[in-house]
This record gives sequence, C-alpha cells and structure tokens, in this order.
Amino acid sequence: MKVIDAVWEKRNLGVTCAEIKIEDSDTAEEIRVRLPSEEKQYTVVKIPSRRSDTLFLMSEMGYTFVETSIRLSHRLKGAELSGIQKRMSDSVDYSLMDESDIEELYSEIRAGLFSTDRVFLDPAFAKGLAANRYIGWISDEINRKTSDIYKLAYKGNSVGFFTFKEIEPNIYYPFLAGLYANYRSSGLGIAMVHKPVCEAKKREGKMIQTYMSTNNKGVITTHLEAGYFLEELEYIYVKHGK
Amino acid sequence: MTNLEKYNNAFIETFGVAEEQLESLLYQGVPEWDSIGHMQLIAALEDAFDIMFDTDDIIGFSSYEIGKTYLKKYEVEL
Repeated sequence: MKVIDAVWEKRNLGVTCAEIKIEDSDTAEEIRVRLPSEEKQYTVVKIPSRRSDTLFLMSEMGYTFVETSIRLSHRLKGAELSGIQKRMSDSVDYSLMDESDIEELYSEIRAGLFSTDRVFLDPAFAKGLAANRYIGWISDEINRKTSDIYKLAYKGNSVGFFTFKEIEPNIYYPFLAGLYANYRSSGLGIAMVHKPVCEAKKREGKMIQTYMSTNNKGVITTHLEAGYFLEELEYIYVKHGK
Repeated sequence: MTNLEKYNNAFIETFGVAEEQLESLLYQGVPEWDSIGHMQLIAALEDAFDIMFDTDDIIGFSSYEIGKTYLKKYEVEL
C-alpha cells in the first residue's frame, strides 16, 4: 500500500487528504487493519482493476465508489486520423499561453470547464472547489516550470487548451485538456487530443500517457479515435471522515 | 432516392433514430450524436452528396434543421 499525504488538497479543498494506492501484495486483512490508521478528512483509495477482490471490502469499510480512472497511451506511430478528423485538427493551431491566455483559461475553469471529476460530483464539496483545485494544479506547474500550457486557437479565437509535462525521458503527460464553453459541441475535440501527439512528435518523444475518468465517456472515445489505447484501469473510492 | 431522403438517412443510419425524431434533433440531443457521431454524420453527408464541408460548417452544424441550411451552400436542394 502506497500512502501519499496530499497536502495540496488542504489549499485546494480545505481538508487533509490521503491518497492511497492498493498494491498487488496487499492482502484483504492488511487493508482492513492498516487503512483506517491512514485515513484523513478526505481519503482517496485507488485500486488496480486486477484487485477487484477488494471491492466489497471497500464498501464494507464505508468507502464510496466514484469513478474508474483509465490510463490511455499513444505510441506516436501508426495511428493516423481519418480525413475529416485531420481537417478539423489541422484547422486548429496551438501555441504556448501568455499571461492573458492563462487568465482566460482560469475564467473558463471557474465557469465550469470541468464537470465530471470526483470532486465536482461530490456533494460534500462546494462546486467552486473543483475549479480551485484545477487552477491550483496548473498554477503549481507553471510556478515550478514543470509543464507547458498550450492554447488551442481556431481562426484566431481561443477554443481550448492542453497541458504538457515530461514525466519520464521522452514520455509526455498532458495532465489536463479541455475545450472552452463556446466550442464544446464543435467537433474540435479531436484537435484537443491530437495536438499533444503533434507536440510529442516534434520533441522526438516516445509516448504520451494520460488519465481520465470513466465519468467522461465523450473524452475517452475521442482519445480512442485519435489512436490512444487503453493501458490500465483503477477503481477510485473515497471516504469523508475524521 | 431524393436528396431529402438521403439527408434523412444519414441521420437515421448514423444515430439509429426514427424519422419522427429528426425535426427536433440537436447535437448532443441523443447520446449517439456526440463528437464522434458528429464526425460520422459529416462523413456520411459528404459521401451522400459528394461535397466537402468547410470546417466552419462542421462546427456550426448543430441540428438537423441547421444542417439543411448548410447544404444549400453546397448547392444541394432538399
């Protein structure tokens, strides 16, 4: 069992938080005994799908299932877009954001850009907190200079964004991406998931890895259409307490 | 087959909807008309009428009725 003291969630959500990852070697009895001692005000438990033997135990211990997190990857080779998808993607430019672009992004996030994550959907958290969490995450990455933030533009208008972080040599992680409200039902989603592939190729990368929630079916299917493939599934449980 | 029948069939076959639903059909109005379904619909219409939509029109194609107005631009009479 890996336990992370998610101190950043105190700032973002106002609660102490532990993120716990169940590992293959954890027996049900170990989980039953150790987990309560690791719990905080908000506890998130991540369970690899191959450990489905622990799911009933989580319910028994008062945890609520909130989503499955899926890891998708793209090997940057041999996955071409269809004709229309390519036309749509080619119609969108991407460039590094400046300060005013970042402010526009934060404004879109505050207006509800993300509405399917476990924090947004959790009635124990006020709606604005999910947005704070994303803004805090992006701000931290910008301040640490550990990620690049790109805007997507269609005919000069900002239509969305993606983030870009190197997590291992030549492996990139666009940890957040989205289309702005006016362009959400536009068919431009393919650009949002394909432009990170273009950037990774430009940097001579090997692979892209990204995570998303099964609560957002649309973004998953768009990734699969763009040549990403499924690598891993994790069940996510949460508990409020203490 | 008339152009209107071809137009209707593109929706019916792509989204599995009934003809009676077409007039009120909106993008995201049925689960099948999501971003992927949208691309499939555009491809079906381009094939049916041998046209190529501008990206502005693909973006603006937000309902069955609005789509009819776009087709006029490509000289397709319904």
